[in-house]
Amino acid sequence: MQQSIVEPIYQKAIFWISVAFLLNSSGNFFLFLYSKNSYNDELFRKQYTIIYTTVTVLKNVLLCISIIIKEKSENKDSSLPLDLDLDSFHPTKINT
Amino acid sequence: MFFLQANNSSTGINTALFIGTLGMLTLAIAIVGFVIFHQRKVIRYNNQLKKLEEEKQHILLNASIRFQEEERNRIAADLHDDAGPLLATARLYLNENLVNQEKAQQLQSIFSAKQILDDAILLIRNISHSLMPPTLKNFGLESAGTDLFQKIGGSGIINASARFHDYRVRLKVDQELLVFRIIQELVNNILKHSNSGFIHLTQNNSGQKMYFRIHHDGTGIVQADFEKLNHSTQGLGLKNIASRIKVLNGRIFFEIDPSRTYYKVTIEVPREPAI
Repeated sequence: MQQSIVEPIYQKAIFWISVAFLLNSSGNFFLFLYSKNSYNDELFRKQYTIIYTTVTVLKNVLLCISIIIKEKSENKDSSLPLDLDLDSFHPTKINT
Repeated sequence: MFFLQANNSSTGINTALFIGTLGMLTLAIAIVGFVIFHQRKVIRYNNQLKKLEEEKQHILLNASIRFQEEERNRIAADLHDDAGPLLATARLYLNENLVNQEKAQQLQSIFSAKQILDDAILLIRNISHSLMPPTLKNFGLESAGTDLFQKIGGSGIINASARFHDYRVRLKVDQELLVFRIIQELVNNILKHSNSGFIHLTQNNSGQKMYFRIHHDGTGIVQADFEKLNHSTQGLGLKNIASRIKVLNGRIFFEIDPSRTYYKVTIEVPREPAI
């Protein structure tokens, strides 16, 4: 049975978490691959630091987005104002 | 020389690392982008479908409300134009002055009033029968269908006949009523628009489905016309048929015979025997 999609995927926190780890893994893939043999190389280490930092920052930014998205969606659920007083109007109270 | 080679190899690795990382990141971003765009496309398509469905529902709802209003108007007109004057005339015959009249004249007035009241009773019976045929309620769809076609055939204008091949197990009462209304509406349309020489109704079962088919040799419509009229603002009767078919969980097919001499309308109804 075909599932109907209502909410876009980018409005879900889990999507941004997955993207964060996907980019982190793909960004560091070649870095970790070469690091065993070339870590003693000065130029490599410099590049390692730049790439690793950039990818980690990117991952953290995406994780932050996922937290923000989650907070937003949680806020969206409470559509009724919390200070709404619905009990003050009561026919029996008016008559008395 | 060794340093140069080492330096060259180190630059190569660094270039490969840079290009590889960039490639991997591009690939990952492309995959994510593709997922997002594809999903947006699917959502847009779903929304369009939903909108179309809502529009269709709206048209059907409007049609059923309009139909109900027309039916009320018809009943009101029948009661006001036919039953009202008849009863008013009967009242005239039975006025206060009747006691002062001669006996023969009194008898004559009472007789006339009685005749008018009989007519009024007959009229009200006819109105109530057109609302809910008693044959359908008491004896089922087979009798009601046969009765309807006999009445149409009896008029002498058109050759009408009905044949129920296998109706030993009756449908549920509300299903019977819906099927009867659909047949009535179809027959009504055929009589109004098709100029046909005959109408023939047949019924049969196949598995868990019951089939009703109406043949006629006049001008008819095919499935494409039905769908088109169903989505337009015209064709109130057809919209009612469509909504009744939907309630029945059935299907309806409008076809033309390959020999192009007659049209067929087939109704498929899931069998839910009356308990």
